[in-house]
Amino acid sequence: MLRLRVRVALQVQRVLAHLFFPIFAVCVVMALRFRGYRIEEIARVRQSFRAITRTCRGPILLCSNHLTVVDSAIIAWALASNGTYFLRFHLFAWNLPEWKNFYRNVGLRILCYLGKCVPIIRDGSVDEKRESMAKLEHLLRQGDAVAIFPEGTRSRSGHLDMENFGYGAGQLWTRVPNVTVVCVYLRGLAQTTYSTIPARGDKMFVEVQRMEAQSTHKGLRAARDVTRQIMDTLYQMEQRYRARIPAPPPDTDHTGAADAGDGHASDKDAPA
Amino acid sequence: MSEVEILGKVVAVLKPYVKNEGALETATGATSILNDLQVNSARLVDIILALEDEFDIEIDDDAADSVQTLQDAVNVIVAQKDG
Repeated sequence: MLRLRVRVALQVQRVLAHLFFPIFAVCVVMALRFRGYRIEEIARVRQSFRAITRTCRGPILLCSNHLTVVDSAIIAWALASNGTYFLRFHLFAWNLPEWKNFYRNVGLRILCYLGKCVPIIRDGSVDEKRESMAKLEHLLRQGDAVAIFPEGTRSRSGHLDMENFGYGAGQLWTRVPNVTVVCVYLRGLAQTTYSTIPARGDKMFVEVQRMEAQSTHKGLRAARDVTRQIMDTLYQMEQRYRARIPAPPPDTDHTGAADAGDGHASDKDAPA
Repeated sequence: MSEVEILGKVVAVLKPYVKNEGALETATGATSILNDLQVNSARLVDIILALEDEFDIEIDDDAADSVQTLQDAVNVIVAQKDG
């Protein structure tokens, strides 16, 4: 059970984040636009997310692949307008930035605080990890959306890491009734491997899919089972993204710009 | 089953997950699973579930969280078997 002091602190953060959201959101979206980022078919993406939010009964657990440190901001931008978030603030997801990456200076701390972030310490103690999970469970139970990267860190290969993912997403699913898992596949079209931020001017491919997680197990086995289902769904989304890249004509060099630029691995790299 | 036998089985269960196999050969109860054997922390849950299967026990979340060293794993198994 989360301590009262922590619950109150989270509620205060939520209220302040909501109050400052109009300024915060405009600044973030302006910064993303200033970098030249665009969302491919943003209307379709938002329509998909809106359809999911209209039909789901419980809180939303967003599960996404992870390639850059601004993935969360881009996903939030892609899924709904600032107006929608302001009116339905529970849809603006809490995030879990790594403490040492995002809490280096006061500016970043304020940005994270107003951006509904709960810092985690990746190599923290058992108690610290337990409290982080308890916070997320509490926030979901309050009806707020939570965004999580099952891979835990940016994929070094640039592709979904099907070997080293943790089971945090599945653990939240087992602990919170009626949680709706929404998988999001995000990738800059010019993204080759992981990076700090996407390349300037990059266009973002975003796909959203609701996932009906099920498990006949309980506890940790259910968490593992569900997280694997989430990762399988993200993997299928990645495959669909890769399939949309047109194959080069037979008479061209296969090291051509389209392939090299996107940096997709061949199927031999795919997990079994 | 003695603690030494349990420790031997725990080492066998851990083998597929360790990156530092040399440390596993000289492992003692004090060996840290994450630091010395360099097991990916994300795989700790798999190890706990593998230990449950191996020893036909159920390990609750709190006990699972307490497993840092090989001796911790042995202690949790002994406690569950005795309980």
